[in-house]
Amino acid sequence: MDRLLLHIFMHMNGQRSISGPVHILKGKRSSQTIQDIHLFRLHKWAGLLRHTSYGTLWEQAQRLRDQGFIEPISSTVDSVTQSGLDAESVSRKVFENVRLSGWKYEWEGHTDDCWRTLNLLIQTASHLKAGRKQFIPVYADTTAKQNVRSLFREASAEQIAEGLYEWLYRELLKRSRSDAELFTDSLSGPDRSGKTLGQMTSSGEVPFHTWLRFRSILHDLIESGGPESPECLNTLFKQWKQKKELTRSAEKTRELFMAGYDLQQIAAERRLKVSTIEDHFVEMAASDPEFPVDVYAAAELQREILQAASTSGGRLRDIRERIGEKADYFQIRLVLSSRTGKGGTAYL
Amino acid sequence: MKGEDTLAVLPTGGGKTLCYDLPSRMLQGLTVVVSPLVSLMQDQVTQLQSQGRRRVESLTGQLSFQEKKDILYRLPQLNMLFLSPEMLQSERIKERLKQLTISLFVVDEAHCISQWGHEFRPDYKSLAGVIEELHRPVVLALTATATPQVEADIKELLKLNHPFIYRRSVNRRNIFLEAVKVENREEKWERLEREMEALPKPMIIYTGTRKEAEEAAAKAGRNFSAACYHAGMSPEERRAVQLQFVEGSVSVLAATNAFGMGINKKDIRSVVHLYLPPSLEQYVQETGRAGRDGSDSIAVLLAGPEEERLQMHLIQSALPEKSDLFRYMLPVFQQQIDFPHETLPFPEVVNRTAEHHFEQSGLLKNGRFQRVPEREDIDRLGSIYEARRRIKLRQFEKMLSFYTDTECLRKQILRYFQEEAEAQQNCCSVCGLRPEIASSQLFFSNEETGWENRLIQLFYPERRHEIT
Ligand SMILES: [Zn+2]
Repeated sequence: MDRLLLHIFMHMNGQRSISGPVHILKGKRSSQTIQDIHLFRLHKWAGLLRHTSYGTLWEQAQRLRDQGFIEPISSTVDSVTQSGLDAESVSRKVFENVRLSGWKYEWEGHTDDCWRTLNLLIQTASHLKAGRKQFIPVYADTTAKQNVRSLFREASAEQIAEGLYEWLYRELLKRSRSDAELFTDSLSGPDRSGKTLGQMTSSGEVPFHTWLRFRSILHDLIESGGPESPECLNTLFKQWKQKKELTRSAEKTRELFMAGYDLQQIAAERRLKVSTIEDHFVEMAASDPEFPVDVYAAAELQREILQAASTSGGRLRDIRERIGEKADYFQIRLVLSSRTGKGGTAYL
Repeated sequence: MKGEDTLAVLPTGGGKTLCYDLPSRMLQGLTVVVSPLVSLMQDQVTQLQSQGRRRVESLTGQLSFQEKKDILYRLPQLNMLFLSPEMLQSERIKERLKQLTISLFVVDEAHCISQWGHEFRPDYKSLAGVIEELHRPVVLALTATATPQVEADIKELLKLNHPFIYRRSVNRRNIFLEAVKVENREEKWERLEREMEALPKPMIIYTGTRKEAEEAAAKAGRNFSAACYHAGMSPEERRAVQLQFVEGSVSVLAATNAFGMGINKKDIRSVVHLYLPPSLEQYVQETGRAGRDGSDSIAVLLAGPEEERLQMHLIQSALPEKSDLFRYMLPVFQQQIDFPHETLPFPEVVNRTAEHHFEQSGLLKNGRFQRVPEREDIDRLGSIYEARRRIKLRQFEKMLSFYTDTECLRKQILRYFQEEAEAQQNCCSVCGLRPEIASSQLFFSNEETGWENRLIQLFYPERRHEIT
């Protein structure tokens, strides 16, 4: 994994510190990281390791330092050493050859949704066709479970199995035999349950590379979604193929915000009313836990707003009356939406 | 069960879910199940759903806001709802529950309410109040292990009403108990290699660390189909390994104590311990996973001074010292308005204890500080951790004397739970020699080769005989 950090870092033209690739892989929603992804054309890797903890990622970065592959030039810039260059060239081919679309399919977790849904869907269809109604399901989160539930409401196990079989056969045929087997071995049926990636790593292969191949298969499967894929999956593919978090207009506002524009400037740039942009900000705060609410309302004010909200049943006008001139409606909405969006128990 | 409060002590978990699943289906209204183990709860829900029970859901802090909202919306249609205890602190959830008829309130892992239990969840102490608020439904308290002291605590703190007490013995006569004191690490692993060959399968090897679990799985993997299981793996991997062990394609599983609860596998023949559990309660639970089908099984404990030191260290470091609290907790508290679960460098249990304590003292209300915490507040909290640590150490001492004493192992366990001992054949390594025990019938798979065949097998299982 540290080699991937190094590989990505090499593409950043010696202008960043090693934390650059860390944030890109983790999928940090900051203007700096998003800019870097576009500027250095690192879409392939964006958000790919969103499930890896920062702790682990920083450890990997530290390993690069310990091995003498990179060294700091200043607090914000690292450079690659000669031994770093040599080390990078060893695994470069693997990283260049694997086909990935992180920015499209990992950034918002679509690949996980897709894999968990497919995995459970295939297991369920397979068991039902074998006449087995009771089985321990593979791991699936609520989204995947709901997806599968509604798919079986619309189609029979026979239809689903047939559609999946033809589509997967066609798609896997396009790949190497080892890729195709990597995918089918991970699936579960009544006769045998799926293997973990660790169990499937072929001898001599780095487990992390196996994992990358697996993600690559999934990205291509999502990409193939369309007229060729099973009809029952159409709606899901549409979801997975589009950025879903914000309305289109709010998305534009976010891009400007990430590029460093402030609220007034965005309104001027987009020739929209300030209140419209405020709406977008509220939307962003609700969908993005990293949104810097503190910039618009200090911690003390947030506390007051929340306290007022809990005693007044959350009605904006009542809150405003309690708080007085200290906060405007925008600030109140922003604070409230950032809270509820996070799903904190306080507001449930 | 006929409308009266019940306390059931069921040492091996077997049929525990059944205890409330059956009544919940017969009773009108909602059965609420409170359980402290979120992952276990999800397993239970999954298992019930896989048996065709669609009106079962779980509500935990791990769900997103939208998911919680969806479940609350569906609440009137459900007949069983699993909750983690902190969910019951939310006024909104309590409000919704109050509007429904709750016919049965199940408190799972009820020993968590007692500070004398081997696991302690301070937020369990608020349950009696919640039950009262929910128009006092009938209460069913369940636990796998309870010494008489813990049992008394459960009755009192849950305010059970002349409960009917159902107690199954902790004695598992079909499990031969063996304790081996080793001198050092090398001896332990040498002995383990021999035991891997000698002991019947399927086998669980419990280890003290994730690294040990991985090592043991690698060693076992040379001669058997083996896998490891620990909390450092993704939920996806863990479920995959669980499925493989249950179906039998993996016959040796090396796991930390993250594995076991909620797993329904009846034909496990041997359980090996490479670490010393922190209490006899936990030891009994872990060994009790063997032989649920009633056939002969064996539990072997391999430990020595290094294992003693490891567990001692774990107990000492699990709860923070006062100095840690002053250093890490106080400054964070003074900057935050909400109780900062994520930013504290302590385990979840520690945070929850603190949260509960401050809620009780009025410093915290609905997860929000009412004033800035001071040194004295932290000092009082520190004393709670200290008392808890002393109890934990005493429990571990029992475990130590258990495996070093020359008294019958079974007798020691039964005395600890204040049960009468009876002599039996094939009892333990103190009383006699290890009996011959056969492995369960092992998994046989006519595995297809090639991805094309595998696809056909998955999507057209009815055609399987055509392709071979
Ligand atoms: Zn004995």
